[in-house]
Amino acid sequence: MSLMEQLAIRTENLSKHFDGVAAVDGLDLEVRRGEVYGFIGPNGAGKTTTIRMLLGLARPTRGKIEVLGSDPLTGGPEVRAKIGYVGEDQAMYSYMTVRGIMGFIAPMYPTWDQRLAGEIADVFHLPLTKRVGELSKGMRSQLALVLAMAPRPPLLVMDEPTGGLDPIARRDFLSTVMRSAVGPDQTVFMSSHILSEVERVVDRVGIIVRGRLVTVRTIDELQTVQKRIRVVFQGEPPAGLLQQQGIVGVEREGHGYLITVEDHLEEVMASLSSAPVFALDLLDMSLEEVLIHYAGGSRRG
Amino acid sequence: MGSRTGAIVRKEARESVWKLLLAGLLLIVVGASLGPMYGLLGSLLPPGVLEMLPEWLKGPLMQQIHSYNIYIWANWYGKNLYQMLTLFSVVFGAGLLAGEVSRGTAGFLFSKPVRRTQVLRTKYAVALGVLAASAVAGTLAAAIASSISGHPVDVLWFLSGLPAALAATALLLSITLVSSVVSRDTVKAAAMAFVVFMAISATAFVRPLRWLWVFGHMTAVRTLASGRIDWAAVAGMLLAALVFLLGAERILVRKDI
Amino acid sequence: MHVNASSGVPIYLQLKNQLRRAIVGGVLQVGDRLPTVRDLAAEAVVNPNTVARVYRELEAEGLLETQRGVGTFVAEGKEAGRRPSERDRLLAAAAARFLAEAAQLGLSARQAADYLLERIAAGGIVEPAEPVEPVVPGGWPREDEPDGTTGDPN
Repeated sequence: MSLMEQLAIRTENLSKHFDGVAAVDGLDLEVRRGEVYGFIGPNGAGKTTTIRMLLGLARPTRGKIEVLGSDPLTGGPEVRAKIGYVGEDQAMYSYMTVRGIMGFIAPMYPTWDQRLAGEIADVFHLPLTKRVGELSKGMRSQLALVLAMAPRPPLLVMDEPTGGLDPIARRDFLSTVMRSAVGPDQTVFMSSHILSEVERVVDRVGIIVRGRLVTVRTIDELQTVQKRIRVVFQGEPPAGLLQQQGIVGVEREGHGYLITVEDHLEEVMASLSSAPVFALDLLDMSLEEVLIHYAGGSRRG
Repeated sequence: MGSRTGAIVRKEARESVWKLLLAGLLLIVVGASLGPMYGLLGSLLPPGVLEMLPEWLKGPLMQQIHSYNIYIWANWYGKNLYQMLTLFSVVFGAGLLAGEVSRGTAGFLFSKPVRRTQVLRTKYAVALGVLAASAVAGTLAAAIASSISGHPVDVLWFLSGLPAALAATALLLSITLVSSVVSRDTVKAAAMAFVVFMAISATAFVRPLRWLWVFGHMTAVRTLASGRIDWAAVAGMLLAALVFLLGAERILVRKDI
Repeated sequence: MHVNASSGVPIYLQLKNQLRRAIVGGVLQVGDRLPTVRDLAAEAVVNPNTVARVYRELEAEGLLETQRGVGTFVAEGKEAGRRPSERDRLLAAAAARFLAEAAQLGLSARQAADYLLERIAAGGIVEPAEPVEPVVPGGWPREDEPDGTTGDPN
């Protein structure tokens, strides 16, 4: 299979400008078929704008997009028939009942699986006869997931899907996605602020800051290789030690240093422990800290 | 593909029920009142007042009092119908797309496997259908009420003003549709449409531009005078409606939702 | 199955260790059928690819075997010789941690062992090795496993 066919989403130098300001700035995104891709970044980084362009809702200022091999703008409804979308706080037709809106959307998808739709609606205890306008925000998100997953789409795109859900509902939401929306020919592309969730379900993470992709790593790399080291040297740190390969950030913390490492963890640890130190601690970086590191660095730089 | 269209049509129809009730009932009520009102016209004027009226008013008024046909045409096509159809074109049309955008449902709808052009055409067709049905219903009500109040009219003759009125409505609605696509807000869209309509009204005063005066065509005065339908005007207005509709589609396809 | 996303230990490793402990400790018997990849992924709320990888690696170690179209089962003990040593390995590591802690508190290995026996004799109340998980981001509330076959033996 060529690289092109292996990618569910591909963008090339994608840009979107609003009034001269670049909300998305030269984005090169690659999402492989079958993977769960976490798209994270600070507020206003361009996540929602990117997702809207993936769905053909917004037109790029520059660059190329390919979703499941087609251009979302010219591919027409056929492309969208293969995409399930859960938007952030999606407004739906409030006068329709839950059953009614399912009946409205179903004919649009040739692959709609009514049994699956019913199953997921059951898991969430969605009241079929209630009007959408009477549902809580959380239930609307759950309904949106039913509508997105029922056609068993090759690509599921989610933009902050679990805001407004309590922890139990969030668990059920993600559990449902893990059960039925991931597979060799099923890709999930999601943006979320709830990084603890992202950490457990994604294969890879792309961090977007100020409209640019600053790093793309597998979640394993982020959990095993991305670390912080707290070190207190006896006296001054040896020359060149803090400029080693793999070190991406150095901060002073009281008497010591907080060193952020992105790669070559063993070598850095080895050289640090061979230096005269009072204390040397290896700290895990949560995904949140990783994000803050990249977002904060960008603001300073 | 058929069922996708069907789903959209059903949705638009459901959302248009209030429009049909509003326009339909209003036009029926107004139409039906014309017959009885005629009798009041003569009786409302106290003796001697008629002679005191200026010539320019006396003439048409006398015509209306003496000829029921002229009366009913002047009041229906010449006033009530065209004013109401113009108003409803804006009221029903301004929110067709701008309403969904401002409510946020446009993002939901267009992220689904639907064609933007198909959605727009369906909305337009349903709105136009509502207006047309209301116009026909009102016209028939006027004819029936005329009969009941003792002034029967030739129904076919009375209906012959409709092609012009409906063609003009199609045009006015398509203009409103463009502003609904361009604007993100129903009120702004309505205002935009009204500005265009005012410009159209102004053409009445400029001799060479008279043929652009849509409202004049709506009154179908030529039909009243000659007994023949002005098919050229009807075709022209329908063509213009098509142009605006295609323009609206073009804008919608290129627009960010 | 219970994983903590923020513990710094990769999720697949946590799952693998928990499964391994369950098998070695006898909670999962030979021939017991494991949940499908999707079921376990849904239950633990983790990526199915992660679960698939864990199953694959445990199968390579001989602890699991997959029968196509039927499921994944705890493997026969033809590698049984490995299992006691698996247990030994894990226990030895745990013991080393305990003794290191005791040493820091001034107890010799002998004293530490005596302490342990005393506490068990006194009523079997031993401090749990891991703190009880509070409901915080990164860990879902624990669910009570009625049958215990897939529960965490800790």
